[in-house]
Amino acid sequence: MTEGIESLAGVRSPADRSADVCIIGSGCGGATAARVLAEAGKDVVVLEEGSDRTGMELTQRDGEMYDQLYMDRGGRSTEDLSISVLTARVLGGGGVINASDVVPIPAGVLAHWRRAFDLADLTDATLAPFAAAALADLHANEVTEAQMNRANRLLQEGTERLGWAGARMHHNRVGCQGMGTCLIGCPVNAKKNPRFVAIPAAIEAGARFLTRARAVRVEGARADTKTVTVKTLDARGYHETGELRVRAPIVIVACNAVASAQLLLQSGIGNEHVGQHLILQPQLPLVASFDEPVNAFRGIPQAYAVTEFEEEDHPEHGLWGFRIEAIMGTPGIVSTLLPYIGSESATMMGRYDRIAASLLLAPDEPSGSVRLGPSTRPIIAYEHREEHKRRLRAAARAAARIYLAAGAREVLVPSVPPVTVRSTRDLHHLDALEMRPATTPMVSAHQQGTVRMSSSASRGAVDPDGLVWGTRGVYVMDASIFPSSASSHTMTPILTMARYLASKLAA
Amino acid sequence: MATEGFAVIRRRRFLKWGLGAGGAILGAGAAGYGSLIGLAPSAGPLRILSDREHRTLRNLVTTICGPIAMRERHDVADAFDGWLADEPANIVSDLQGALLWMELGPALYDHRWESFSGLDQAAREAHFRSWMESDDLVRRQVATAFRKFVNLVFHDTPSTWARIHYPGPATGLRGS
Ligand SMILES: Cc1cc2nc3c(=O)[nH]c(=O)nc-3n(C[C@H](O)[C@H](O)[C@H](O)COP(=O)(O)OP(=O)(O)OC[C@H]3O[C@@H](n4cnc5c(N)ncnc54)[C@H](O)[C@@H]3O)c2cc1C
Ligand code: SF4
Repeated sequence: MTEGIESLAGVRSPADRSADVCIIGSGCGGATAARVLAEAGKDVVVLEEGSDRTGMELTQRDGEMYDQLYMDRGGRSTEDLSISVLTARVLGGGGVINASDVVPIPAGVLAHWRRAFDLADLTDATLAPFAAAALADLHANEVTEAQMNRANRLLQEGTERLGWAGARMHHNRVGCQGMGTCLIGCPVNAKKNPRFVAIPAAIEAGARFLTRARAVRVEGARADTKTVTVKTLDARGYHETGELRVRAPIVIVACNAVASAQLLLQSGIGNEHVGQHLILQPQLPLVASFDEPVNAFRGIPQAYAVTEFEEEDHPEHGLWGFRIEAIMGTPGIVSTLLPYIGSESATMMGRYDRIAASLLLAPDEPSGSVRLGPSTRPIIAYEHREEHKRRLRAAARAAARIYLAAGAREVLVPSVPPVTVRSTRDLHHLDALEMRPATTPMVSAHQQGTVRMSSSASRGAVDPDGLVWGTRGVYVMDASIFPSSASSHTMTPILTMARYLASKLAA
Repeated sequence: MATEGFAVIRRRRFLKWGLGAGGAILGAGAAGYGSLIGLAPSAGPLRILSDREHRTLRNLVTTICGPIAMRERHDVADAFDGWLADEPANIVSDLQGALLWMELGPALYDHRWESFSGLDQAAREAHFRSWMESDDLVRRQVATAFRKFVNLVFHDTPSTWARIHYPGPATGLRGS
């Protein structure tokens, strides 16, 4: 046992606990809140249903890592199978498996929240110290020229040839060795994520972290003391083994936008907005084939972004437009995205070392919901609106032009049936992209909005302090509170807002 | 493992289609049903799957990954069996239903008295592709779910890496 981190894996009769604050979820929001409150002198217990995996326990193997580091063993998806909903399940949460991109909340988004949700306190000046602290914790720095692998350079070359705007991204890696498996964990612990920043600081200040501890119910939402019922899980996290209770006057829910809504619904806490307004930011992958070896599987997968088409101050939505970012994965996960079978699949995978891939990322309007299902897994419904598809088609056109300009022999949108572009004359093929459910491998990494913040209970589920409307002492401090897309990447916004809200609570 | 959709194939609708389909075949009588799907050789000790279901899965592996997967197909099917053993009960029964449905698919939808396992490679690919492209959402979902599971496990197998020029994890780890 690492000091301050206790695994409850397989424990059948664990002892009940009590604390000043019980935090559910140890990810970007939960770990940050734990640190702030522990440093303010509170006795903090954090519950985490994942296990603690660091260093060489992050084996760089698809099967084992998706099974162990992601919710539903990597299989979480919208109910119609349109969108794979990727969320972490490990001590440290999404920071352990994310692409390490650091993008703060744009000023235009804050202005939108003030305008549309009456969140008058959320000004640049109020949040500035918390944003600065988040960036400092992340050790945020720009990817260097030398760290750009060939795949990212190809995206950059094509973008520059077309005269479009793009930039090397900021990230939270220090001592990166370019092993390329960021999405299934970094075996050299190069990411300055909550596991290596907020959690050690919280432990130093006295916080206790319990792993393989799944909160299933919060009771006494209006009482002085709340009781959280917790199930212990087996070592792999598949089955429940025991039960305990944690009692605390304050409970902070920080399980991520899907699981936080699920837990509140299971507990019967909150108003009609809980579980609604789900934002998924569905991302569409696109694959370019080159004659030369690209070896995109080594190096930082996501180091360059095309920002030409992004709108950070859209009058109606805050963040809008689209951006294009390089990406790559290990063979297992890449093969699941491709639309071919049989010999065609073997041929395409035979070109694995010659492909460069991108994710087309377009912010969306809230159009989904989370509800309870027949097992421990929630049901995620999502209406993929035509307007969003239209922007994704525009993004695919732009990305195809970029890769063709960079010398690609073929650009593929891996839908069923596949849509390919070999020259600019083929760009109209992309108009045929229907994106029917279960035909196009879209992914969501930035779920938000299911317990959204608003200045009135008629428009949201938590108040401007993160307090669930109608409760005394039940707070939410994670991605679920954002009333619209906080940024093109959610980690830094969550670190910022959790620090801000936890500091208010501590005061 | 990335097995999108296994959790969300809508149970009631799925059962309506899957069992309805099975019922139609059973209408041909037990002997007809038996002659259609035949007996499967023993697949060794299994946790959840029957020998027949394991055979369907082996054939799905070569359908999805191509004949190059001949050597690994048994291991991929075993991995599915092991994975299934730790899934919630509703998902286990849905997937077993999906395997039967897939096995009966050619008789149900292609108007031929053949099971999926009874087809040759080209016919299996054509049949599976028709599910991928089907106007019926549930068939597309089943095809998607199997495609994802099979691909992920197959391409995570070290013996497949040399062919795709992947040198393996940079740490040299092979995982457990
Ligand atoms: C593949 C991927 C790539 C991404 N890339 C980036 C990126 O490059 N940059 C960026 O800014 N953002 C990125 N993100 C998004 C970012 O990582 C997430 O938005 C962020 O981690 C969410 O923070 P959170 O606090 O809401 O929840 P999380 O960080 O997900 O933490 C929630 C934790 O709660 C635990 N939990 C859930 N339910 C319970 C329960 N009932 N009991 C106990 N514990 C529970 C979970 O196991 C999890 O560990 C990425 C996300 C993914 C999935
Ligand atoms: S690219 Fe860097 S951060 Fe990502 S896994 Fe490799 S060493 Fe770790």
